[in-house]
Amino acid sequence: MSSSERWQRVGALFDRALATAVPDRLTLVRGSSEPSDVQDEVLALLESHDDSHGFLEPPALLEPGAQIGSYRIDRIIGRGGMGVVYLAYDARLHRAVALKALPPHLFRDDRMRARLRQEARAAAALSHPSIATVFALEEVGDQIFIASEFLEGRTLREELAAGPITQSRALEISRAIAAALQAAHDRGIVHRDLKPENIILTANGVKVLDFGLAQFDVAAQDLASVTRLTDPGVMAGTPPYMAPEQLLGQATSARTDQFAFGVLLYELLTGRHPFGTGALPTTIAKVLSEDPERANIPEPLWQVIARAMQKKPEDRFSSTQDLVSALAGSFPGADPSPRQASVPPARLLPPGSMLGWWSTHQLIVALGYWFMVWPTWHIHKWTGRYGVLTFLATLAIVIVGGNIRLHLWFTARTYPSELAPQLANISRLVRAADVAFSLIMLGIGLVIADAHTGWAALFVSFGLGAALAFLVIEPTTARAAFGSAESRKLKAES
Amino acid sequence: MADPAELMPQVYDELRRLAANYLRQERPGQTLQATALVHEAFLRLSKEKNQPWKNRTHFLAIAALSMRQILVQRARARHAEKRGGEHVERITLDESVLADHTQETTGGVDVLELDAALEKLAALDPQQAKIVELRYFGGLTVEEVAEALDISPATVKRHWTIARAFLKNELSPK
Repeated sequence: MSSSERWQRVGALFDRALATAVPDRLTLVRGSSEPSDVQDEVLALLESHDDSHGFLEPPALLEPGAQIGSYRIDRIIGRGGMGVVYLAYDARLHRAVALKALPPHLFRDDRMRARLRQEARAAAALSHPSIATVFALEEVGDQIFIASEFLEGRTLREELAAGPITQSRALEISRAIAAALQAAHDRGIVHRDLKPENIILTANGVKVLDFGLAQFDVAAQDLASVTRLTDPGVMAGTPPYMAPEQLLGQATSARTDQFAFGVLLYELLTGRHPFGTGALPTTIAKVLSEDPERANIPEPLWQVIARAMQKKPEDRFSSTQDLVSALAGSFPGADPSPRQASVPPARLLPPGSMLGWWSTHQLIVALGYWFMVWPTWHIHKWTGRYGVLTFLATLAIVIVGGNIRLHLWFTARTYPSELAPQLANISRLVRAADVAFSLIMLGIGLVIADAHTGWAALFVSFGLGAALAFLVIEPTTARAAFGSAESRKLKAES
Repeated sequence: MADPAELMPQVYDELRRLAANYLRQERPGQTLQATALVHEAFLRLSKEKNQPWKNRTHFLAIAALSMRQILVQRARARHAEKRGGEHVERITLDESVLADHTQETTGGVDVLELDAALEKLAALDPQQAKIVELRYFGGLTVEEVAEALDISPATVKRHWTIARAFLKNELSPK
């Protein structure tokens, strides 16, 4: 008999003994037909077995069917280092709930218990269609767990893994997340662990969950009531979605969530993480020092992302409401948000942006157009039968070109995020008006040059000035304002 | 199922790196969480393309083996450091926290002793040793072990029970 054959017989007898009531086991084993050494080993194993309760047990999760308080466990639906989430049935209220519990090995970890309590309180303080509803915080014996709304759907991570997301869907999802964040931030609660794994797409919409690292913003709450769950200098969160200040263990705020939101929006639009999925230290280094690549993100959305992902919290949106507004105004067909009017205009300009030069240029050109209306009327009698016609043509060009310029100037100062889509539509028209205006001015100048040299000089200089403006100055200010790609696009269109 | 050994380097490196990270940050009273590491490794590696594993369970099976090797290596390294000293520090698996709650009753399990006992068990019944590895080092549930090994949960439970009694017997001070 080989040792493994022998072990099988030991196992068989051991199983039979276990199936027998404890007092009868000795009789069963001794009365078996196995050799006495096998019997001895089985008895030793039985003794060890009785003594091995909990021995080598993995952080035993509640098994299906287990009862905890008034909840019956159905199955595990999620698991992470700090918690296990079960689908359970609430026997009191007859409904399915999600139970988030600590793994048993952390039951007695006061810090983890405090964290779970804080998560429950944070989420319970919020009532928003895009935030998972917390029903109760339960403590049964050693166990502590949160009962919350059971959400059927898939995580944003799964959705991202399944393939590209259309832009309109990406915007729908990101707007819901931004609204949830705003609701939380309004109550002084910072999520601090926003990532695709914590966002569930259900039939009833997008739900943000897992306020496990949520922190009551010190500024918004009584300082004494705030429990510090993470020591200063200790990292908590998921590195690829953490803002630089969070990675560095510095103070976190609502703007920390803005950063994670920017990363999420980037990922939603491009299907990839802005800092790649390389080794963790590489990712952290990039979060701290590199700006994300523009990729093929439409300009207005890119402005939102670039602003939200600023390295310094103070360079991000001054409030989550600003972010929500910028997002709402960032794509064509968006419902104009009533909040938009209250957004302080200058704050929406990306820090360091040269948009100011570009918009000033628009204003000056428009004023120049209008300035020339009267001289064109004044000289109409000197240019013979075409004088009135020339005047009317100039007036038409000035009205179209000048007004569009003024409109662009106003938009750049007030709703910069809406600028790019509008530019794409009207830049050709503006360019045509520029060329026509410039030619007419030069033409008038040449016709009246002999008789009225002074007036001719005025027209020629405005004609040349306009030509210079659209050939040289505007491309330069556009490049300063929008970067080279956008200005190339504008140039190509002209 | 592909041979876990082929897939090892990627998972193994990731786990070792994570473990090193965690241990550097370790403060008194904190413990290394093997399951947390395994799950974090999964989350990170699952983002990569060309995943050689079929699914999460398959991954956890590979990770469990890697985790065992990492803990054994660490234990050996510490023994080597202490060699020649007054006493040899026992490396207990409460480092892995998996045994954190057993620590009170058993005083912890020595990784190297457990590893040796598992080798003995593998000679008798490789599948039983594998089940212990998956449950203990990988934190898999009975159902997940059953899925990973393509056997019934009842069989897993039966094997687990006797394997545990065997190991308890082996590790008990004689």
